[in-house]
Amino acid sequence: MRRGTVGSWLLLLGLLCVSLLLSAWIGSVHVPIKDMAFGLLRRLRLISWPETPLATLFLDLRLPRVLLGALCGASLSLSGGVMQGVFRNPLADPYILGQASGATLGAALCALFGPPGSFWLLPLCAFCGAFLFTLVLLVISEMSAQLYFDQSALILVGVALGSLGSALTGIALYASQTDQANSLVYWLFGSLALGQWPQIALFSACALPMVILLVQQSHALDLLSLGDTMAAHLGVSVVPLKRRLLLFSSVLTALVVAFCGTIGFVGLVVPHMVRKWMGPRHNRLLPSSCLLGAAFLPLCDTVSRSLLAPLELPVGIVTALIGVPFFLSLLLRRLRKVKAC
Amino acid sequence: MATLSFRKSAWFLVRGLFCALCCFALMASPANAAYPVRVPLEGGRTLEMARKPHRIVVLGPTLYAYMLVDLGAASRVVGLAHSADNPRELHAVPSVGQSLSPDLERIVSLSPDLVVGGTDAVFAQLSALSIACFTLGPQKQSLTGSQDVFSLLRVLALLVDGDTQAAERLIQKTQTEMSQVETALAAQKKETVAVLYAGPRGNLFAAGAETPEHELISRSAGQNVFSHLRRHKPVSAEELLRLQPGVILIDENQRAYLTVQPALHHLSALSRGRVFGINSAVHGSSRLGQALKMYASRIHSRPF
Amino acid sequence: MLTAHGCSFSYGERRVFSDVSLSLHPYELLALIGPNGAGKTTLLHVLSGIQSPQQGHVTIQTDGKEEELFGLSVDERARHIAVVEQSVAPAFDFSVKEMVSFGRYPHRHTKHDHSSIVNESMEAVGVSLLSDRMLSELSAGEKQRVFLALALAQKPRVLLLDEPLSHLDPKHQQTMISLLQTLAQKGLAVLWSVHELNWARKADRVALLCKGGLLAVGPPSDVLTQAHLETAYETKVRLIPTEPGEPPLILFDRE
Repeated sequence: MRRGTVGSWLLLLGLLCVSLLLSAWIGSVHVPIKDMAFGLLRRLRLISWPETPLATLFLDLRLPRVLLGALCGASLSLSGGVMQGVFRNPLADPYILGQASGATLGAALCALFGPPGSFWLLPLCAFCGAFLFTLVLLVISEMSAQLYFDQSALILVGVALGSLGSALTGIALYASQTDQANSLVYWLFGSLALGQWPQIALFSACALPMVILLVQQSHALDLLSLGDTMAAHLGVSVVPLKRRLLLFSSVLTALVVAFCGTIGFVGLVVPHMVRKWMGPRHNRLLPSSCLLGAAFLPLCDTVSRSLLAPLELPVGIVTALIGVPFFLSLLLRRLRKVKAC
Repeated sequence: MATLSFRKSAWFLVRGLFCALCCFALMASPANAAYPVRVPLEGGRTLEMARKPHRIVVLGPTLYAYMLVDLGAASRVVGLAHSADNPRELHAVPSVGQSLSPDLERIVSLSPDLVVGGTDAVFAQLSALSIACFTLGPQKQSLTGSQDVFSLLRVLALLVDGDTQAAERLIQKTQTEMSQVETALAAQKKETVAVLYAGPRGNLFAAGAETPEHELISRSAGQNVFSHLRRHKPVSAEELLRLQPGVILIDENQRAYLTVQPALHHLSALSRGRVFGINSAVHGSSRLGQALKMYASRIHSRPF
Repeated sequence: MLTAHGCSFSYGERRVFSDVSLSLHPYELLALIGPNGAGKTTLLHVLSGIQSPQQGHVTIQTDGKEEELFGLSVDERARHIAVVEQSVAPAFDFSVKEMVSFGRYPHRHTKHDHSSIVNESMEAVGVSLLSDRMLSELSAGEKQRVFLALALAQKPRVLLLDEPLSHLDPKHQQTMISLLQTLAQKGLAVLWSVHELNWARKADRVALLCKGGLLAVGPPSDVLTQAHLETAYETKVRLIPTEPGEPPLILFDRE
């Protein structure tokens, strides 16, 4: 079976283009192509005609949402692929180290006790919460370097931190006696509805270095999947590598959670789809996960906002609805393989 | 179905506007001022309405919807967040999705000149598109009683009409209604009362002091058994059994939560048939006169 | 070429071995034997540089001079020493060619023709025809040869193998031994740990590790004696003479 051919890449790019175009086209309000096109040209200062209200709607509401979806989908898929490589576990996902819980705690504390009306503060606090939890995990790992080599223990620390975050969030919600809990619930499920251009610019600026740094580690990640000992024999400094990988992918995950809440299953499912298609080599897996994730999430978001319009399903529900059957089939296949052995 | 979130949101998602806020607004724009009006928002921001809004979109909580109907602005509401508890007068208004996650495109396509309610994030998004938004956002305090409700009514009236006349009339009417009920109950023996809500998992919350429910109980010759609590707090079945309120008021759709726990079968209010359903959305709105009458009639088993 | 000087290693309180000195030379096949728990794998890891001994040190000859093994960078170490572990379970299903190409990682910054070296390595162990097959589809013997090809792709001067025969049937064991002998003849220093003592007879030298130290090192006939084996394995041993000049066959008697 030939994997990673030029045709595969072209197909991926094609999927991405189709997804973005469909997502830009479909919405509660029909925006004619003419308005889209002229609006874009005007924003790019190539024409000076006045912008129609529909063009503004498209450029300031729909397009940022679609692009944010693409960026988040790419980030989550990349982070998920890296986590699966680091933990040598195809069931790992970007939230395995408890970042989602940390982000929720940060967001809850900001929403409940922070100064009102500051829109940027919430993502900042969420990011800090997620990142803080990652740092705590890394500090614990430094205290016992053995932890880097014990995958289950590392995951357990992540689970423990996640539970701690949830508990602290619960206390904060209880103590505050306000009703931000409602908006937090929706935030928890994940939403791309609040995509704006400044956010997209900030997200891209922060995420791009992480993406580059992670993709650069592709070769080393391949070796890590042979086991820590084999990787060390082949010239990989295992502990510094794992530290870097966990840190960079946590930053990516924290960015996504900060801006869009917890969107599940993308980081788990997309690397698997890609692995079947492009093979497990990370120099193909990681970039193609980015592309497929960038195509997958906007499509899910389009479904979430169109299926029951004007009601919007939280996008995390749609990704789960699609992700769970895939996940179960993967599990069954693995079990069948084990049984056959 | 009115869940805890909607019920609470009727009182709490709208953050307490204190009298000072109301006074400030009044000072900024005296009762008969025309547009433009300036209304203070949270965090030092202000909202300036240049002219009378004719296309209003109302997001949650339902309290805003009831207030706008009562202020006579129902015909100007062109979009409404989906809720089973929306006022009947607005049932034909197109939906813009759910309060916490509305369909922003649909809102924008309605070309509103004022959006009332919604979360901070939605506020930021719509403001960025130069749409006038009024929301109190997440604040540390909730509506603590009728004065807060009246303050909010005045601010809304200022926004939608340019003056507070309609609000003052409504407040006057409500205060008269409430006084009448209080007078009728002047010699009434006080009953012990609890106002309860059920959370999503069937866990119970009670209205303590500094809540509109507490005020309604007090003014309907009742005694809130949970007055030692502040705001809304979760309460255990044990606590409820210990306090044994004579009357329990709970949202109509949540009565089953009281009967489902075997331990609560020992509640005297339950066995004496003194558990009454209330329509939280209506009775948690600005229709305080109606609410007080309902409380009084339930608590004292006589019509008002 | 690779020498352990008085190395001692412990896992926490548990002393695995003390004062072990062992040299590996090019053109030599050295068999490391010993009972379970003697520390054969640990000694291999100390010799490969991924674990440092609590006492003693390991040196390697590079460009004619002797250097501390732990003074080299991880890449440099991997260019000199290759290890075939007892069992490798990759988390994902790579193809044979992809697996072997991992051996080029220490040389990733060089301008060598990686592709032809990978092909040569596969050729040397006879897995060229399996190049596009997935690792999971191979038999245990074929997999073992793929891991050997991976190690050879590193172009090492020292090859360490941890019980490479344990998952193989007799035919594949024979093939593996012949391969190792060929590699030693080509100039590699090959050390392989083995449980099946009769295979150790095929080595140029044998090292017997037991009871926390090296009991004997030398030609098979000097090490594979009744006294040594009964001390090491704490069980009765019978030696059956074979060809003249060949070490005897070893049988373990039931008590």
